[in-house]
Amino acid sequence: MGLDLKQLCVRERTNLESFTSKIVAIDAYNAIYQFLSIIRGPDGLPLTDYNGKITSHISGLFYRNINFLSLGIKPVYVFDGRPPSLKSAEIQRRKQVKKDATIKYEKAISEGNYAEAKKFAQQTSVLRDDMVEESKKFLELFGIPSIQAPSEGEATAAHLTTTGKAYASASQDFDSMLFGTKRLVRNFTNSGKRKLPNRNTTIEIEPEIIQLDKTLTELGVTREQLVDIGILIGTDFNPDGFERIGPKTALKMIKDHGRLEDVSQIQDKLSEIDYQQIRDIFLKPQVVDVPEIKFGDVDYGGIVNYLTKERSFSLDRVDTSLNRLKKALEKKSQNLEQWFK
Amino acid sequence: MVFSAKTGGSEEWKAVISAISTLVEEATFEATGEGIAFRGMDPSHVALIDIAWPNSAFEKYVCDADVKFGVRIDEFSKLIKRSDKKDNIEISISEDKLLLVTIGKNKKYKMRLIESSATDTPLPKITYNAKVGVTSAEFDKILGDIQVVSEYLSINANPTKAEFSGRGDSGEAIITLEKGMPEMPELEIKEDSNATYSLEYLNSIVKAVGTVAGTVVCEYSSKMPLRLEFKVANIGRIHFYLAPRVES
Repeated sequence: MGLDLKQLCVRERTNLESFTSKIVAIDAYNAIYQFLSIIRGPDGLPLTDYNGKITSHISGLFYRNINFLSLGIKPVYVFDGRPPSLKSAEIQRRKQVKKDATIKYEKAISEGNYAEAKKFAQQTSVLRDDMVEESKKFLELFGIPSIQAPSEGEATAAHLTTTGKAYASASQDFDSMLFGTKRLVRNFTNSGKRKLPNRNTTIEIEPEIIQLDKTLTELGVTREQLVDIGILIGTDFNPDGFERIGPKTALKMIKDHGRLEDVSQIQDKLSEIDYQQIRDIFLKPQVVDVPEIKFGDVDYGGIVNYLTKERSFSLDRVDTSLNRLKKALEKKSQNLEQWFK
Repeated sequence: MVFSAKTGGSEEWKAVISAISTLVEEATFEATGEGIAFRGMDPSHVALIDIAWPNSAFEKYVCDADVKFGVRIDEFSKLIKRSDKKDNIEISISEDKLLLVTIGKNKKYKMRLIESSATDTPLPKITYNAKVGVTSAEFDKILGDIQVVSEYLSINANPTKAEFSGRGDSGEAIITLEKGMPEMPELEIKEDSNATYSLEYLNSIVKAVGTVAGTVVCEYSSKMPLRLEFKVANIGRIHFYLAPRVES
């Protein structure tokens, strides 16, 4: 469900242009799940090719990355590896949500209630291994690197920012902050109106950047303490958190007492969870080091072939978008950074 | 702290604001004993503006402690536009952190300041091998001439002449200025130099300040950034840096 740190973070408005020529480590599962849940037909079902295979994720990756590359942004996608075993409860819970949603979806369809059906359909998104492999191969056609994380993708993405390999990491989840990312970008896409999943309203989406050190200074806590605050609110590894403790209360408790062990009123509940292990997941995460992040050239022919011949995309639309990219790449001015050194 | 700066007319602020507005939405000025300075880049870091506005250019200037103040350019611009050409403009900062702007004899504005998130912008370190001074009227014309066919301006200069050219899908354009022509009062070449720059950026800055500057001095080297210098009466100089186009 993600960690509810929103109101504690110092969030600053930004725009895509300010990431020009910078490497941004994208939480691949997070991005692809979004595509799967949002990019759907009017019946609420994901887009498919003539074989009936889902293409929502490919469509999302196609348009999103054309946009990034046109602006000179250097995206690198970090894919999740094996989840920590403590996550199994959360994973079970998510599976159950999907199961329930599938049943509700079928019921709504049989009753002819399409608005309801669409709402539930969006909760049924499943990212299968073959879709992950497809996504990686597709990114390769753009010359965009993928990194396979040993465990949580956000942890390796955060690690890339602290080692200076990437400028920021991008995810909707605030867990990245606990993993120690230097800068977290949320809504890493063009600003504009977006339809909210499950609701009939649109909202204005704007990219925002959160700097870890600024947030820690503002809150007056250390990163270790932020992790404790996260555990109180509830992380993927203790999804329920602590009863009646929201972000503000959690912050106050940790600021008043320093650490979980010293907050007397929670000791009974605390003894039921493996908080030390949760701390370790965030503070000593399993990550992978990459020697150098290399970007390749865009294989225009390869992209057209794959999308139109194998995945039933319209040639016209693919061509239009790729031409836009080609033009943008030719047109690019270098930036001044290299002359500052 | 005492800071106040009064100009003899309103054109100075109009030129400074329109130059800055080509690149950023928010600007942080720095006032010191020497005068007012601004430095900033567009979000994609392709272009940089560096303005040094010395105290001597003001009708009255007092600053006994360095101060930085940030404004939203659109807000500041609207307010300055309420002035007539001959109106003095005096700015100072109130104790409650508002910008006080007095226009002419009887107009007083108070404007909110914004907290500046800007970090110090360095200047590019470049050795310039070519220096081409062109009257601003001629430079504006050249940009217009090239734009008919291209989105880019290439400058190719040697000790005898400077060629401005562009090429696009529809064809090519070339404008040659020979040494000694009145349109080009200055040509100093250490090494033959050739580089290409985006017209989009050049057009907007020349439209913004070209008309108030007598000449535009272009300094550059092959495949290196361009520095345009505009000398504006009662401001001093405005430097505009522009990264070259990627050679494909």
